[in-house]
Amino acid sequence: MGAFRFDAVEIPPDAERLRGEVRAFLAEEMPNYPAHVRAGSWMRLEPEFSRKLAAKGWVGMAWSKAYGGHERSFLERYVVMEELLSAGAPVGAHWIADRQSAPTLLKFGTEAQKQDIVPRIARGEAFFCIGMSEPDSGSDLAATRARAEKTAMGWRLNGTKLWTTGAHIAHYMIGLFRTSTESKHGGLTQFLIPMKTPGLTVRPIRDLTGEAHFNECAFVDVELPPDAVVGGEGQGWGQVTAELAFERSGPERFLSSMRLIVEMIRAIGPDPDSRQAVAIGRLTAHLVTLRRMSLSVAGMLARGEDPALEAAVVKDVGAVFEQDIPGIAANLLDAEPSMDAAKTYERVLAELTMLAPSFSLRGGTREILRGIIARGLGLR
Amino acid sequence: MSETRAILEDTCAKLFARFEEPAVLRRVEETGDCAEVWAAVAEQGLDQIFSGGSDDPWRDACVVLKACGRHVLPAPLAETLMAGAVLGEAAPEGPLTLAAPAQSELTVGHDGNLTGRLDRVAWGGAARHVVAEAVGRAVVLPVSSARLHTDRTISREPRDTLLFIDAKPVGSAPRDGQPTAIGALMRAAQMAGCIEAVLAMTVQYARDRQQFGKPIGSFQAIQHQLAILGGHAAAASRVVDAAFDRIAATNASPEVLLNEAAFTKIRCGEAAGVAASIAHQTHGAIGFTDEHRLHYFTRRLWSWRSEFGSEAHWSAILGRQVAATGADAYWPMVTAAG
Ligand SMILES: Cc1cc2nc3c(=O)[nH]c(=O)nc-3n(C[C@H](O)[C@H](O)[C@H](O)COP(=O)(O)OP(=O)(O)OC[C@H]3O[C@@H](n4cnc5c(N)ncnc54)[C@H](O)[C@@H]3O)c2cc1C
Repeated sequence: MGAFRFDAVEIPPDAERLRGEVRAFLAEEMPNYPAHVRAGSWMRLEPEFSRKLAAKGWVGMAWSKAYGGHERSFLERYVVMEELLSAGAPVGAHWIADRQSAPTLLKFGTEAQKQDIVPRIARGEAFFCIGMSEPDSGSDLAATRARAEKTAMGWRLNGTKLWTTGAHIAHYMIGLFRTSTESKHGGLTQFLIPMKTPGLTVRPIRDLTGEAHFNECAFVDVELPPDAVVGGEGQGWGQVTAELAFERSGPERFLSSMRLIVEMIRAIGPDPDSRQAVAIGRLTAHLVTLRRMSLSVAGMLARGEDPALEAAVVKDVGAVFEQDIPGIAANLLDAEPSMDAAKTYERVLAELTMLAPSFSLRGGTREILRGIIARGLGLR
Repeated sequence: MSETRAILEDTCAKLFARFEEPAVLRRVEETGDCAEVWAAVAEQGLDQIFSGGSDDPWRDACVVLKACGRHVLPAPLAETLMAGAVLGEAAPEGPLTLAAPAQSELTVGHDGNLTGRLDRVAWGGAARHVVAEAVGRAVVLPVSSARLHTDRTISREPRDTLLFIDAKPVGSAPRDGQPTAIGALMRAAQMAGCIEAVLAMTVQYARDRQQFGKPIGSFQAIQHQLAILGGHAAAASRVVDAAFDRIAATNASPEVLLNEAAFTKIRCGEAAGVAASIAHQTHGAIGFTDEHRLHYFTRRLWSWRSEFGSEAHWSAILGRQVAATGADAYWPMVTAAG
């Protein structure tokens, strides 16, 4: 019944055992991480940490062993992801490769691409970035202008990719390029691009937090071999849509402000006034509900169903939730955000107040998601 | 959803649709007489879920409660089911209703008879028996032994006051049946179903109603409001389904009942407010008329939202519990909640 499918999901006992292992590992590995560093979580890039996770078998969990994966279930993967995120582990280095680049390669890539690269992703040795957005192509992704021309040797790429998270540490980009101007959607192709390729320049862009998480990637006559195409020539739009379903479906879409909730509870202490108790209770009910919705989406992925619509719902509802938290937190304790790491609560408040605007932009804006949901309701 | 529950949902949909007509709803609202509706429901055995009529009563009840909300069934079927859930096997034949402990004052005489008042009892006058709390356990009182003051809520369902003087209970449960939590779960499940109906109705209206030469649903402002409503509908439905699943899986452990009552009543109550507001805005003036059926749904959402504890009531309970458990136990608590 209803417009969406959110079915029951039971986390199997094996996955719950795994949860314990992850918790123990994190307690061991990151005892002294300051709370405001944890607040960054998948925005923080620590290759060393990513390699440790890979050594535990927690990268590439659901992929075939033939490509270096571990053939664990999607729900086991979900449990590991949510434990890492809720602890604020610095998982940014491998996050994109694990979440969407490798699944894209496994689904659409050539055998050579899969054999060469996917095992390295699973070992935490190959990191990826997403080359979709451009200066004049954000929400209107199919307006992509960066172009790839066929040459005698393969392909020549020119143009600019923008807001490319992690490009400065990534080994590869999967980039969306225009290979034909005849059709807006039909003229797009995905390419596998080593970041060391001559002609590709990465320039970090400082964001409002004062740090550089994303980049500008300029392509000037970047030459690629013929087999750099991922999937089919002209199939880029369909492939990117499938990739976005992976990008939007995970628990990172409602856990971004988790650290602030936890530090707020700590700062309020065991004896909240009624205003504080009401606010904490309300946030908790929302969080539990979102997690249940998100688990249903994981269940759909596990069954091989397409959760694009349900993922958009969770991301939209989740972004409203995580974005509201800094404002609520500031009012509940009458706190001033501070950049002084010694003031734990105020520092985390500062961090998430600054990060919050990005929650409803990255991975598809609120307006775009609501358009997808409206279409799912039969309105478009 | 299992096949048997899909059949149950279908049965409810077909049966309840007969009474979803504005003419029927209006008549029951005006007279308080739901005998015809009740007879049809009882004939199908839908009132027996907690009295041996189901192998999996909580999950089946979830389906029926949501259907009661989705079709705004004008009879105390939800109340009968949940009064049965409070009592367990000891339930007498329906229709039953459930008194909210916060609005009950019963004292026990030395002979075990009860004196006092139960306020704002849903369908009080239409029920045969009322399940109420007296000294920490659930008791059953015949409504025929009460003096009745009729009252209504904005849903125009009866919310009657029952006065008992030295009344003899005809049954009791040996334990605290947690009527407040069970009542909250009942209203939450009804709200979740009702919000689904409001969503469907509003989407349909947005597709049909034309202004400026096109359906209003083609305006992005309307589309985005309906997407917000869709998100709340999905959240309400999911949290309720998961709640009844967990209650079933834990054999209705008191702790789980309390937590799930909080999660569902808070989340569905908030969703109800948003849903009613967006639905009315989208429907324009026609949705504000008595003639249009929307108000049969939104008036119920507004009443159910405040019964068996408001969002603030449950949020405060949950928030105090979270604060007492402490920051480091927070995430483990969330994952343990399933
Ligand atoms: C922290 C962060 C990390 C990012 N990382 C990456 C990355 O790694 N790789 C990558 O490719 N991109 C990345 N992005 C870019 C992101 O995908 C884009 O910001 C997003 O798609 C929106 O594009 P835009 O910023 O150009 O905004 P625009 O598309 O110009 O939108 C501006 C505003 O107009 C609204 N709008 C646009 N079109 C419509 C419409 N049809 N109807 C209604 N409203 C509309 C938008 O919702 C938004 O509110 C990142 C962004 C952020 C903030």
